[in-house]
Amino acid sequence: MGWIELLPIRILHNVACYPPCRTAADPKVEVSRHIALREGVFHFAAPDLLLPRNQPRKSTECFRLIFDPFFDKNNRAIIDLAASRSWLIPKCDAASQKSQTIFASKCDSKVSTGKVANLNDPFVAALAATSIDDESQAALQGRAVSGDKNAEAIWNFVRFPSLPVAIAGFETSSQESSFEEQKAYEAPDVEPKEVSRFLNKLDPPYEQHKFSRSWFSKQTKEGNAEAAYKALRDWMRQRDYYVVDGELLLEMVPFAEEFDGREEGFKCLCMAATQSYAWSRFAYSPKEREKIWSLLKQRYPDKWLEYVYRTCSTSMYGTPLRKMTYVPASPGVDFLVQFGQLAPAEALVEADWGFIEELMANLRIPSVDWFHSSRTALDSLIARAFWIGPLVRERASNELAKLLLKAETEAATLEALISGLSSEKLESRTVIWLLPMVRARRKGWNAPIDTIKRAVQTPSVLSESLLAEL
Amino acid sequence: MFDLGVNKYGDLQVLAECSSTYTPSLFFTRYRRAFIPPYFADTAEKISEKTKVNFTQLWGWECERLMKSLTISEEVGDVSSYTGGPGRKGNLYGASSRVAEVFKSSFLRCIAWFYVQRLLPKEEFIEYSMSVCPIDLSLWDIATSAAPDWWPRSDHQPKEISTLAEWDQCAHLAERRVNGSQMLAAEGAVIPATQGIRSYFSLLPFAYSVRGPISEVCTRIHRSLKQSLWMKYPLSAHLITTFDGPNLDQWIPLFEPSETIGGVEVYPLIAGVRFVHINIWQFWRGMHPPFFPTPHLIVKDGSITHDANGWYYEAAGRRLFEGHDWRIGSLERAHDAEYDLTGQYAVCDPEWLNNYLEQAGLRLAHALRVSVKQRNREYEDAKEFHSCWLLNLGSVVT
Repeated sequence: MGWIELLPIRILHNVACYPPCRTAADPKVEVSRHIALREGVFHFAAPDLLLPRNQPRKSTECFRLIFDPFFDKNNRAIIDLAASRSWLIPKCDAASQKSQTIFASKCDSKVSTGKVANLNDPFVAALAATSIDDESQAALQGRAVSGDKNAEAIWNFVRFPSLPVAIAGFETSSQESSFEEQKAYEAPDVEPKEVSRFLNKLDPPYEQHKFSRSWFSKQTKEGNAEAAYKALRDWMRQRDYYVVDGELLLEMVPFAEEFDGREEGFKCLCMAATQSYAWSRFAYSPKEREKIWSLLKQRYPDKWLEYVYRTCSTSMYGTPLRKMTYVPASPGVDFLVQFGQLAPAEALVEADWGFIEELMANLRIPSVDWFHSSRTALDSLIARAFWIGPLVRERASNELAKLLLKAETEAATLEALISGLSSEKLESRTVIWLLPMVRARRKGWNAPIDTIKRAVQTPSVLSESLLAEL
Repeated sequence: MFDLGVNKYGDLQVLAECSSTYTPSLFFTRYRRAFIPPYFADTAEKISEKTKVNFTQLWGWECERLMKSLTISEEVGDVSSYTGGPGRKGNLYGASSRVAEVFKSSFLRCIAWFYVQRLLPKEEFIEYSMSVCPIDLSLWDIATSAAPDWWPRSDHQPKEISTLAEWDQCAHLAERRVNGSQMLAAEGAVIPATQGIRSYFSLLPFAYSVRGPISEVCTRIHRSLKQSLWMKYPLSAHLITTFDGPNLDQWIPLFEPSETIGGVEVYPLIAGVRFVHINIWQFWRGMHPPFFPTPHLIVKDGSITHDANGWYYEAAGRRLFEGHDWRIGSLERAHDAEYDLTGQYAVCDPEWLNNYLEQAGLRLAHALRVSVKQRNREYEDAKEFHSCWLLNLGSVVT
């Protein structure tokens, strides 16, 4: 079996932590050994998802396990048993309801739930009309374009006005150069003795980085390498290497070695690595990392272990850390392999692997039952009325009001609203239950005022003002 | 006036059990400004200061009690996954989790308790309670449409900031006619053309007469006009249906009828409508209070109306004033480096406006303020520039 991608539906980073399980592996949740190493993160798919791509899957649960082995103070690769885990699950509650319907056209092909939103159903159509995110709207638009009249009607209602013109991005040529009123970092020649004062006047970090890089390059070409190097070095030391330019530090390595000795050159390289997030699994280009490692291999092959220690004990701001950070697994293994340390690399992978197996044993995957539950579209719509975003709440409330105004949906909607209202324990949420009814009343609905009043269990001056509008 | 319903609040007496030595939980203290709009915490402090009774303490106590009774744990949970995020994701405006509802409900209950204890007058009891309402019922009827074709827009070609196309377009807006009506006021984002440049303008009208030597007044006049607000009296009927009916006598102007600023006697012609509640379901209309004529322009038997396209001021069958707003996209999330893509404008019957100016012996001018946010990279903090002009006030004024 091969690698199964995470399901392409919108997912929520749920940071719930579960106690690590130390018991023997349960054969029912036996973890496949088919793992893939991508960008430093080992991805697993739950066993019932390890199916060929086109076969229906039993559930949508899947997760990603992130774990981080440590290098200890003696520079031994040690696995941190308190590894972190994060789950990726389909959006729960109201978001899943959205998935159930609005994303139905996508889910149909990708998750194989067998459910496609039936927009002839007025409750489902109302639910679809609460979509505000791009993906949901795109799914609706797709159905509308393919000739689905119901989808078209909803799409015409829910779509937001778009920009009349395409916006040019940041990458457009000449934008930067033509727009700066005055480019301080392109100031005329600055003497090395003045550079520190000049840099402090520039905005950190972009202007400082931009200026220092071009200034250093110019100075070295003009034969002022030593003075320029020392001026920048002193400036960096003064600020304790706080947010200095990683690229510049890398360029300074040979000069540091020449003017301050080999040890300083090595320190400069280590600082360049820390400032460049060189161990980070994210937001860092492997090409840049390769450049740093290549310089390390070329100039300081004997210091690879010290490199690990130094880069793991300094923060990305250049300041010393109170305790060592860790080397993430995949860059760590890559690093060890590159420096010919095959045995520690293998040990690292094996240890990681063993730990994951132990961690995964008897693991209970959170249940997400929206695709199989018996909840109705009306339940989902009401849940959307209490969704975290106010725009969704407004749309759901509006749709509930519309359902109250339709003869065929009035009774079920009213019953659900009254039921929710009568069990509500918070004053502020009581208002949310009342608003669809008040809106419908303003549009001509014959509201059963006494029934509604009796249902209010947590009244307030606010709910009274709404009842007065009925 | 509706029933205040104070006697109906469930189990309000329980608030008497709060000990004077109680210290609100760290969770409450830490998140009372994060889970709900800071308005609530600010109001709590204001009430505490005014009444010399610690409202925040009681609020924290009630919040903790409600959370326990509803078995809601004191943790942030998944909320931050939805509400915030670095970079392009932006922050979710007006997010309201279950914990936020507890914060709001306990606030409502403490306000009622303070009223019952005669620590708050009725007006404040209602005003503070109403803040929890998420929408104005009349404003809910009005759709926010797309930006009109004539709305100022940026140029694709980057230029010096001082020569941006929008400066000129905004300056000429005051001369525009829309379906025969005269443009009175407009404000909002300029339709952008690039990621790096975002602009916003505010064009506000005023009537004036010169009272003495004129000094640097532009920014001061604009600020004064911008601070002109209407508010509905908290004890008025239909408090959450602002744009219904003829009840302008229940509106309170929160500004002076005129003000002398640097030698210019300024009479605001437009004021924003500040709602008693936090209009969180349509937050763009709360952040940019809808324009409405000031008392100078109010005529006998005039009334406020609205339909799906806008809000109006009418008299004797004539539509004297129209307000409209627009937006692009959902506006669901806010980005610090950009202005929200929304705006509003007001047009009016020119005869109505001229009648007032003639009778009062005043002239019409506009204050225009344009702001620009500029950045060169996505993750860079934007630099913001502001400029202000007075239009039609003569060359002596800068």
